[in-house]
Parts: sequence; structure tokens; C-alpha cells
Amino acid sequence: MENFFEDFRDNLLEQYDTCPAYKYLCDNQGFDPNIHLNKEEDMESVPFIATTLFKKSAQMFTSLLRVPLETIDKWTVSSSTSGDPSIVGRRKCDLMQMERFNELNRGIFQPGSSQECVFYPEPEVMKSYKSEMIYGKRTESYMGNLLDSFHFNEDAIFFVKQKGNELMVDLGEFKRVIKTNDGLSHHLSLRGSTPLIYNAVNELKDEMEPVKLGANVLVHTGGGGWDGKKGTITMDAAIQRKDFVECVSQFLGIPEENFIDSYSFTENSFPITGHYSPKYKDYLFHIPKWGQVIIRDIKTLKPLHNPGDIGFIQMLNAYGTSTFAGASIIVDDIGQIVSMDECPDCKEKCMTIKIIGRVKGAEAKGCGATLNVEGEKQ
Amino acid sequence: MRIEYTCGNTALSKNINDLNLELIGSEENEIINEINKLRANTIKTHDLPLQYTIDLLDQCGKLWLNREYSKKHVEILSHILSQSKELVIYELEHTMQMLLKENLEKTIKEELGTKEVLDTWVNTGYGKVHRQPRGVIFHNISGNAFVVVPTSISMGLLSKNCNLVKVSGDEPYFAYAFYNSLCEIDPSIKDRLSVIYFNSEYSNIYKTIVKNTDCVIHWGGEHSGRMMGELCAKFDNHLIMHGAKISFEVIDKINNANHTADLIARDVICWEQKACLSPRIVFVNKNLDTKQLAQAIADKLKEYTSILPKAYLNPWNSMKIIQDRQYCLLKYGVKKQQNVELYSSYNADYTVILNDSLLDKEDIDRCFNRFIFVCPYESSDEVLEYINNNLKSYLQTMGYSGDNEEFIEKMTLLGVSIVTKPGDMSIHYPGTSHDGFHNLQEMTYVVSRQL
Repeated sequence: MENFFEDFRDNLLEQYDTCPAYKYLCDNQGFDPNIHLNKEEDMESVPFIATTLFKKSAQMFTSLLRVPLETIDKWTVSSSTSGDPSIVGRRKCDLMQMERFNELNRGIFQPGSSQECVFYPEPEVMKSYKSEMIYGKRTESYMGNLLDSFHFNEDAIFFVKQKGNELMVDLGEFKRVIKTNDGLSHHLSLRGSTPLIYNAVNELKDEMEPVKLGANVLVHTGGGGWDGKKGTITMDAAIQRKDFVECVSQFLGIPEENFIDSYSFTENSFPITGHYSPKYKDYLFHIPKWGQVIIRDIKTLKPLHNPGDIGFIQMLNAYGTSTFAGASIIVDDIGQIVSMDECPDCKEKCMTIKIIGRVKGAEAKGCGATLNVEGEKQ
Repeated sequence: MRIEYTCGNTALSKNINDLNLELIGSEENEIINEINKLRANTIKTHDLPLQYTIDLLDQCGKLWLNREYSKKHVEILSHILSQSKELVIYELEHTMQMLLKENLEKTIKEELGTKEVLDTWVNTGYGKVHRQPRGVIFHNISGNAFVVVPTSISMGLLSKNCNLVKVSGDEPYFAYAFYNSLCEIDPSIKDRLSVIYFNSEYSNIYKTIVKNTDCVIHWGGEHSGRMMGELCAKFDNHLIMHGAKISFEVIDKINNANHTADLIARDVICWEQKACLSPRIVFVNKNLDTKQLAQAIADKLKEYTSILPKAYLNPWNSMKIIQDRQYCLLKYGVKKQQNVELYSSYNADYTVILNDSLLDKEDIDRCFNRFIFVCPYESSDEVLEYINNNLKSYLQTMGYSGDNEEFIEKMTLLGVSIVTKPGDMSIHYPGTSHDGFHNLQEMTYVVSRQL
């Protein structure tokens, strides 16, 4: 992981050679990485794959493998708010890369806090939740695999428990933990799903006084859910990042500066992490040197380079996608460039972006028919 | 922006492409009052001379054709519909031409034989004939193509009915603006025309309306159409059903590929393929140079991008095209190992997919916003079979270039209700039937006198 461009080029060349579907896309756009990918600027011309191609309904996920199907270890699947999860084949080597990314983020994630409190189920529970067999390989929640790569302390408390087929939040346990630590400034980390944490805090606000956990607590959210939807959780409205931070910060007595959020998705490999900036009232995501993000104009799809520019997020992966065609992925999320070279808040030298949210839409219902063939099949 | 319809006090906020709208919707009791008001005016409406309404609509059409007048409406519509102003103007001007006196008179003559039959008794071989209005008509309007609004309202007024118009939440503006322009010319229009809004999820309101009106004209989606059909059957209300249709083009013979491509491109661009008359598939005879035609269609779409651009007000429109384009390319080209050629812009401006076999039915749902399949066929029977197997219950307009009368006969027998030249799919010549019937006929009773 010394030279991102060289490693990305190697990864892409291999993807071009080993994934006929990706080669087909490239050929269609007149792009041959052997010829056209020679310098860093050329990365902006690299064809991308839309995340929706990995959806179960698209039935394309086997065509997006770079290795024979029988050699993959598992299918990692998204949480599927829509009921149509993404399915991405992965091998151990790619999953181990996730652990390496976590290691590289040690300074930010602060593993090994005296007490880790997690608003997700235990990794093994999460991985096997609603698991099924596809082409003889087990599906596992991508989030479960991310949690697995985290290596939580043995005494980590997981507030989400499985009861039958349902996952339930143990609010009583959360209440006990925060009461126990009230006013003690213990080294704690509160990690997990944004809507779950938000819901839990809002529920407790009705039944107890705020606590003061102090400045040694890290609140690390991840896995999305800002639009108010995550898996089977549906809230009335999207969660405003500022509202979330202010609400949780005030109720638990944790400084706003201690909030971080990680962003990634099943079809991608490296997560990006943002720290909350009270000045910007938003999370500012740093693009690490082991990955690259391109923000593309919504109309022209051309790469954007100026602070304030808003567009689709494309992620370039040099590592961790050796099993599937994940080297260059465009996702239906919108991002905004904050700076191309330095975080204006903490001054770290890196591209910095904000995540605006998911692209939403639907055709107006009208006299032009939509056939809804999938619906007919059910 | 606050939109106050004819009646109602319940505010509902809606954000369409970042335009904040406050729709003042109606409750059930308010709608009943409105229906009662309209019903009380049915005799008065019947007694108005037809020429009065023709002149009113003509003035209204001219008002909208004045670009200074329509300017602010174009801007709002462009935003709501996520269509460029240029395209909205193009569509609006075609739509408003329809309201000009000469076109209305032609329409009435083609549909009913004479204008007089709406005002008085007209001699026939057996005695006399007259057209009487049904009474109060409920117009359930869709939001995909605003042409529906003046079409439905003008037919309702010309047929001397009183009209209750429900706008769509997807496009709640144009009917309101059109109603206001009629009121500007003649405030008494309120006696026979009401424009309302209510949340479609309240199906009980539909039930009340259908129960208390004399006729329903429905424009819109399949689900709501089915619901209206069931209600009309239950309450023995006359239903005029328009909607949930799919159109296509068949290119059997051509003189000039570029010219034909130009006409097809125009059909594709109008209404961003969201109207029932918009083509989703172009079937092309294999004897023609299909690659040349597909390329030419793409070239023309590119050319029109500068004249009638897309709006890109909603990122979804852009992302969806990119996703669908990649999906279709890989599905047909890689998974099905078929011969696929893609002629498209890099961005989402236009997509032409030439596939050596006919497309799967499910992919027809992707053909919106300048996204079209070109499918070569060996024989016209192949097209017939495909249409019969996949689209029989949705047929409407067929753009046709060729001279195979037998094919036209078979297609119209199958359910195609309008056959046009390429380039004319969105142009409804005065008097042309609509979904297999004439609206003025449907909105009136034929009464006979043998005295």
C-alpha cells in the first residue's frame, strides 16, 4: 500500500482481465486500461460499475466475480432496506483487507477502550442473521463482516439481541451502562447504527435525566441509516446529522467533537471516516491515501474538483476487491467536496467531503404504463 | 408556493425537485358540497351555447400561446416535471394549439358529425338526434403529461357537462394554473368547473365521488385505474378509461435513415417518454441497415440535446439511466450472450440500445427519459407475436413507416388504437380517436326523437 496509483492500476488491469463483464463495459466505452491508464489523471476516465448491478434482482452478481464461483468463501450482503440486497462475492483475502483498513484507522477508531458499547448484534449473530445458501455458498451480512474485522474486547456489550427472527435493542442494558458511567469520565466507545442510537436516546429522554459520560467517550456511528431507514428499521423522517449529534451529545454529556461516522457500502472495500465539526455542523469525511473518491457532476458525470461541488460518489479501490469487480464503483449517494487537499477543520492534508445522502426518486404515475413484471411474478 | 384549489382548507406540504408546495386539499364533506354546487348548475350549463365555450377555450389557448403570459408557468412546470423549459414550451404550444377555435370545431365535427347536435335537435333519416351531457363528470388526472389537463377539461366543457377535476400529487400545478386562466377570461366558469386536490390514499373519498357523479374520466396508472373501474362498476357510473398504455414504432420501410431517425428522436423526446403515446421500443425490419438507423437515432437525440435539453433537476433521473444502461448492456451482452450495441452519451442525455433479439418485457419499464431499444425483426409476424404476448392489454399508439396494410390491420385488431407516421406520435390531429373511442361521444348521450 505504498503507491495508490500503481496498486490501483494493477488491480484494475487484473479486473479487466478476469471479469468479462467489466471488460465488456470498458470495451463499450473504448477504454483499455493497458493503453489508457498510465498516469494519475487517467483514473478519472476509468469506467465505473453502478452498485445496483450487484442487486439480487439484477442476477448479475456471479458475472461480477473475478474468480471462479467455487473459489469464493462467502457472499456478503447488504442490509437491504428495499428488500433487494446487494450480493458481493468475497474471499478471506479481501475480508482480511478490511481488518488492515481498521488497523490503519486505529488512531481514529480508538479500539481497546475500557468499555465498548455496540448498537449492533455480536458479529457472529449479525453475520448469520437471515443467512442463506446461494450457489452453494453462505450469505453473510456485510455489516457482520465489518464488525468481525473490528476485534472488539471480550467484554464488549452488544445492545442488539436476536430473539427468534427479530433483532431487538436491549434498552434496559443501555440505560444501566450510561447510569453506571455517569459523571465518571471513563474511556468508553459507543459504536453502531445511527437510527438505533438515536431511537434509544430519544426513548430514554422520556424516562430519565441526562447523564454526563464525559470527554473520554467516542461515539462512532457507521452503516448509514441517516435517511431514517436501515434494514427493517424505518423512522418517520431522515436524521439530520446536526440534530443527531446535538441530541446524543446533550443527553449523554459527550463533546460534539467526539463524534465520528464511517461510510462505506457492500460493493466497496475501504471505509471513509468523518469527524463531526461543530463549526460545519456536519461530519467531514477524510479520504485516506489508500483509497480515492471522485465526485461526479450529476448532469455531465464529469469529475468535479472545487470546494462546494456536489455530485455522485465514485470510489476507487486498489485493495480488497480481488474477488469481485469493485475497483471502480459508482454509488447512488451524493457527496459534496469540502476541500481537495486539506480538512478545513482539523487541517489534515487530505481530500475532505460531506455525505449528502441517497438519491431518491420515482416516475410520476400516469397514462404511460409501467409493467411491474417482478410484481406479476410474485 | 401555496396552491389554493376551488375548495378545501387542509394544507399539505410537498417538495418536488426542491420546490416547496403547499397544496390546499379538500375533505370529503367539502367535495360533496362542491359536487352539489356543480349539480345545481347542470341545467344552466346545458343551456349555454356551444359557441360560447369554443370562444372561451380559444381565448384561453391564445393566452397560453403568449410566451409572456406562460413564462412563469413554464418555469414552475419545468421544475415540477424535471423537464427543461425548452421542452415544456414545445409541449405546451402543441397542447394549446388544440384549443384554437378551428381545431375545436374540427374535433367536434369529426367526433359528433356536427356542432349543432350539442345545442339543438338535428334532422336524421328517422327523425331528430341530439347530444345531451351526462351531468357531473369526475376527471381523475395523472401527473406524467400535462396535455391531459386541457384535453380532459375542454372535452368536459364542450360536452356541456359540469366538471370536477382532481389533480395529481405528482404534478399538482398545471390544472390549477389552467383553471385560473379560464377564470381570468370568464369567472362564471366556476359554475361548471372545479379543480380539487385530496390525498389519493383516502380511497373513501373516491368512493363518495364516484357515487355522487354521473361519469368518470380516468387518466393514469394501472392500480388507480383498476380501483376506479371497480368503483364505477359498483355504483353503475360511466367510466371513460385512458391510461396505463404503451406505444412503440415499427420501421418496415424507409427512404432516408437520417430523416426517419429525426422523426423517431422527436417522438422519444416529447414528454420524456412518460406519456401513453411515447415510444418505448423501435422495431426495425432486418432488411434495413439497423446499425445505421440506431446510430442515426442516437445522433439525432444528441442534436436535440442542445435544442430540447434534459433538465437534470433530480439526480435520480441521471443515476437511474446510468444504472439501467449498464444493466441492459451486461444482461443482454454478457449474461444472454446476445449481440448488443450501445449508442449513448457518456452522461444520461440519451441511450439507444440495439439488440439482435426482442427485449424482455420487464425492461420496457426502463424506457423513460430518452432511453430506447431498437429491435430488429425478421418478419412482421415476429412483432405481432411479441406484442400479443407482452403488451396486448396496454396498446395505444404505433408509429409506422411502411406500406403493409395487412400488418396495420392485424395490429389494430390486436389493440393498437392510433397509427401515425414516425414523428407524429405526440400529435393528436383534431378528431383522432383516443384509446379506441371519442371523448365527446363518451361524455354525452345520443338521444333520438321519432316524433
